[in-house]
Amino acid sequence: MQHGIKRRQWTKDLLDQKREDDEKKIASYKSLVKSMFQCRDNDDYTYEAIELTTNLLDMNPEFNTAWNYRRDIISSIKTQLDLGFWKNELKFTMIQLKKFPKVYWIWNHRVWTLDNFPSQQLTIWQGELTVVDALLELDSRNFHGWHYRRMVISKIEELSHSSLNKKEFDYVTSKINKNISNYSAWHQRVQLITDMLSKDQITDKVDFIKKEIDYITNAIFTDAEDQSVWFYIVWMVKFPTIRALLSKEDYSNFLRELKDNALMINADEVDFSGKENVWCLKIVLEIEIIQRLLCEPIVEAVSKDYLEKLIKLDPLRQNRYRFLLSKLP
Amino acid sequence: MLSPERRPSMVERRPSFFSFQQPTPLIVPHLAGIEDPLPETTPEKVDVLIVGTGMVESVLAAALSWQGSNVLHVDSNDYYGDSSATLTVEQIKRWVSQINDNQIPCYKNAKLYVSNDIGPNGKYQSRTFGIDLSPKIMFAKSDLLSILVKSRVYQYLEFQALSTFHTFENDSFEKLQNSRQEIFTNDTLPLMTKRNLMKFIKFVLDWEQQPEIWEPYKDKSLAEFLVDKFKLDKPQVFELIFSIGLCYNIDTKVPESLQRIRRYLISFDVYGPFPVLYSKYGGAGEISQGFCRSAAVAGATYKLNEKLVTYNPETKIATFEDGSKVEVEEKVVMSPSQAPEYSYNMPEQKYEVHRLTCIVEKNCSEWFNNSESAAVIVFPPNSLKSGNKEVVQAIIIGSGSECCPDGTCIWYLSTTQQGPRAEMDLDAALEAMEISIIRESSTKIPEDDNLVQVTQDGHSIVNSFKLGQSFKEYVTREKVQLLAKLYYTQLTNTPPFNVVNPALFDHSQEQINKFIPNASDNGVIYTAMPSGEISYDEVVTAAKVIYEKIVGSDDDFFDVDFEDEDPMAMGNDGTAPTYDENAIEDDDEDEDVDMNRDDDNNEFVGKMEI
Amino acid sequence: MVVELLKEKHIEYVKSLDSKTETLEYWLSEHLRLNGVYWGLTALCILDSKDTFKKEDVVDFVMSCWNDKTGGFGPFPRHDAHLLATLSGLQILLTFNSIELITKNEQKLEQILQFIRGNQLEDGSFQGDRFGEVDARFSYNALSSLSILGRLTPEVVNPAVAHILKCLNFDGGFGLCPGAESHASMAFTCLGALSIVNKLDLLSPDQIDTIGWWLCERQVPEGGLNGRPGKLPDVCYSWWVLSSLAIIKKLNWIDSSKLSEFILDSQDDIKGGIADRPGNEVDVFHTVFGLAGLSLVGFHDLVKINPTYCMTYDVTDKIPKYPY
Repeated sequence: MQHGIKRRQWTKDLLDQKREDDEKKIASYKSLVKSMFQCRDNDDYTYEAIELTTNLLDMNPEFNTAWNYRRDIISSIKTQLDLGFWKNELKFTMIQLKKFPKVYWIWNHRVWTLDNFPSQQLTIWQGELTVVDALLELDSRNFHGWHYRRMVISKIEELSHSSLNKKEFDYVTSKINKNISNYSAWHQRVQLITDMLSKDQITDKVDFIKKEIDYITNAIFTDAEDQSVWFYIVWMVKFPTIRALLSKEDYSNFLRELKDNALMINADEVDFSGKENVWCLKIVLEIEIIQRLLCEPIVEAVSKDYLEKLIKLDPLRQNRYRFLLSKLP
Repeated sequence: MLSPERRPSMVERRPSFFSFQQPTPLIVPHLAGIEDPLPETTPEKVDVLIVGTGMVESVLAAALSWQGSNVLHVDSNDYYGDSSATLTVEQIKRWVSQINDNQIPCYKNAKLYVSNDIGPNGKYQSRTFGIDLSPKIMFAKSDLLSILVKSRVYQYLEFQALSTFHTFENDSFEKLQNSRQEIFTNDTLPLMTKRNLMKFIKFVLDWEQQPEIWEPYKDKSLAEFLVDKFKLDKPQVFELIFSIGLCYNIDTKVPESLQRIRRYLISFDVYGPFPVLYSKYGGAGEISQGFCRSAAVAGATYKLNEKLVTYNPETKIATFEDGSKVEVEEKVVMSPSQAPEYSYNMPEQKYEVHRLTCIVEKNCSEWFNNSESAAVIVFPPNSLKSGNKEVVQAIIIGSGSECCPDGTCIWYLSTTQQGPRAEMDLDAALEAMEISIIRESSTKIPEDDNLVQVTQDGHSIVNSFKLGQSFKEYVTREKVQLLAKLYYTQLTNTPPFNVVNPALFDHSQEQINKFIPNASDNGVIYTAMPSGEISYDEVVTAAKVIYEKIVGSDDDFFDVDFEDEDPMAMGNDGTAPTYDENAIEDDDEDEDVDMNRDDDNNEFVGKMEI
Repeated sequence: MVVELLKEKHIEYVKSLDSKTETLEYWLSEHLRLNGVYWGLTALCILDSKDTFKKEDVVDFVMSCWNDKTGGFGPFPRHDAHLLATLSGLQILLTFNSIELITKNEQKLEQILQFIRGNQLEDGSFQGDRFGEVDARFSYNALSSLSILGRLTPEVVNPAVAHILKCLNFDGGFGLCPGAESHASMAFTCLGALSIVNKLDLLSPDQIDTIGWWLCERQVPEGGLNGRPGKLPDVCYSWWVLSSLAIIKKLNWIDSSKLSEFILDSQDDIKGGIADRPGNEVDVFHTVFGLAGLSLVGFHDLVKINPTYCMTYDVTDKIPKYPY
């Protein structure tokens, strides 16, 4: 499958040219594939066979059978391979990843290589963190990058018997500071906070949560249109641990202030552009649900009003709003 | 006549892409990178004669040469750059005396002080300084930069980042806080101010598409618009107008200033987390030379020390001071600064740009962001002792730019204030800078519990640096050592403008058709002298207007199709460009492209050293 | 602007795919061939033209991908078996009423069951093959394969379900493993897997509503759906998001007519096929998921597709319901 490739109309000349070019490449590719299968079926586990897979994977990094065979060879001649070989193996996957950052098979092989690295496991994995940093520097939403980061971190934690949660928390904060719309970083923030709270790694939990409330307040005043922040706020509002840690009064204040701020931002938006901010309305709905759950006195319930507005303002999702409307008490 | 010294040319610093020989010997060389020696004689016939090697003329020479015109490009000086030149201290001395002998049109009132520390017996050698006659900065998203990339002239140059913009407020420097990150993480900004600022920043990025917001204010000043529509307070308003917009006074109208603010904001994160670049080894002088070099590669002929005396539009013969002549098929283009005697057709150069350039013995690192070597300081109206009406802008260039030796720094101050009060404004700004740099670089910063000090004469003073705001009574004992101080007034017919408006430069038509008996410049097209504008934004437009006059249209302006195997496509070492466009761009198996990605950003940037 | 569904052209496009042996791309995509055949075949099923493919040829090809050493299918003859290819192989056989080639062959059946079950790890998750890559996709592959074979067992299902539930995130999306960021394709694999084993009731009504919320926020103003917040819309998400919404019975939470427009705009009106978004190059992957999306929203006379299995109902009706 391919993505983001602009459609072009091939002229006959271009097609002929391409066919001619392809012919040669196909021939050499097919002969490489043939020799590889031959070697594999003959149980050829030699260094030469590794090189054969290198050539093939250079042409087609998605050929997972070639990766598999490569790993089988390496495993069976492990004792003959020196450190230089393993370092080269890491280099090989790095070169491949630079060209094909989205190919799962390359990532897998890199992980396998690291897992089987003969010495200094901890150092090797720590070095891997630099690789992920660079990757996420280039593309701060890279799906593979974040997944890989979590894996690397858990390996390091396992090998060093220590938690990296605090460092990682600073890391995601810096990512969010750079770009509030980085949903991947907000997601990771949820994972980290949940883990830190459950492992009792935060000394003053109430203070921590209050700082977090300041942080999101700053975020919605900086950019109230981005859904990343709002999804995060919904989590904060609903996450039972946070509710349990705050005093009843602090928690009600949190809800009330958040609601007031959302209403203030929305009023400002209406004043400025004549348009309402749909996310402000959506968050107020969520807050009122909780307020009702807690049997809080709601000064002026706006849910019904807002749902009716949202049906018009956000018509793509109108049936969801109708559904919520039907569930209102 | 050869000057006693000159700055090393590009080719002496960087090997030519074409030359496999030893580095060129240190005489005034033929143009860097060209194998043909400097022509013994002037060619008999050319399509276009361009007089003066300043920015506009050099861009034009390169554009015309690549388009296929046969260009003769001359300069009466023995160096490249003309009004955009980068000169040594010795060259500056000579230049100043030429101005005061009325030998260089469009400059007046030049004054120069040079300390004994610079010179054969001093601490510093004259040649280690490169002083720009027209100091400028370049926005990362600008027409000049895209032409530098398209023409591959950037490969002759090295660029450095500039991300620090200070505004002088209440007698102290405030660092500009304007990125989304800075607004988000700034603890001192009130929440609603954050929101209003962000609202404005988002709006300004595509302001033209939202006339309903700004049109009611189109004849008003931006200040009024910002206060009224965006509810911003004075510090933010001043920052937006003067530091980000780099406007010249408080009356700048809404559309013009929005354009200027947008220019700054869209330049962020194009090449990195900074909006502005400047070229190493010298500003406009380097870039002009780069375009000349490119023109020479495309076949233009270069002659220095060649002064035009007269041009006869009927015989199409141009005559030079050394007696040589050339027949010009198409047009003669000339910088006003090279105009010969009896130039009665030269447009009136009615706008003054006042410049004060100082070499100081301080590294001024306090003003730079880490690892950077330049900054911009803006003095808004009425921020100076002199009660300035117009802005004073200062570009600070440190030794990391290779324009001055370690431990020194060049301060370029300029103002568009007309008349004699300009010099007062510049002096007041200089004084403010001196006080500030002494204060900020003082090694005698008191400990935290020692903020208040008593001076010898009994005054108690507060260390303003520590407090983050100044204290006017603070008396400094230390003084900034000025190694050189240069003041001059430059004239131009281009007002400091707010939008790049081609009409500003289109004043040649009447000139061409006029015929004044005894004039030496009948039929000559004049280029524009540099204006007070702090960036290079006018250059490409000015060159394009003339290009169109000569070629008929600007469709093929730098429409250069370099072959892929062109050696220039590679870096010096023959390797692929360092900025790899295949660098990991994004994401999952299921695609995804960054929504904010602007395809224009994806142009090949190659080995740009930034 | 294309407004019609170009059925004939899409059939022609799918048909043309296997005749492109002279292009390099054809050979470099061997590792996806069996999946490609399934995508093409299902596209044809939706267009009610299954017979465009010659059954014998296709079935022979599928069986030639059988890996005799490990059991299971590889994506191409001689390639190693993998859960991804194994499911595609079974789907094609089922579509062509040939699943008995496996279920009635004791040795093969034993091998394939062992292959699938053998890739289940202790925590209930599945690896794609013996090299240990874990992904919720593989849980779906495994459960769907076992379901097609009629061989789901509580020993496999219960731990698998427990693991899938751990992939549900705070925002109502699913990640590829516990802790991973929500991604629309994972909503389908996780909800689809739960639906196959009849365990959707393990999700509370509140959870279902939150899942529906995250999914319906994937629709962007152009009408298309994206895979994560802040990303561009892509035709393949019309399947991943839409099937998920259908599974939790909230299909009407997005605007299906605007989505249909987006998919139709992504057609290539000259050579047929559907691209990831308007103006881009088409491929069989986006073609089938575009058509499947249109089928789900009841577009014209397209054959109805089953959101749980991504095959038409006439095919999936043959699958026995779990628990048996």
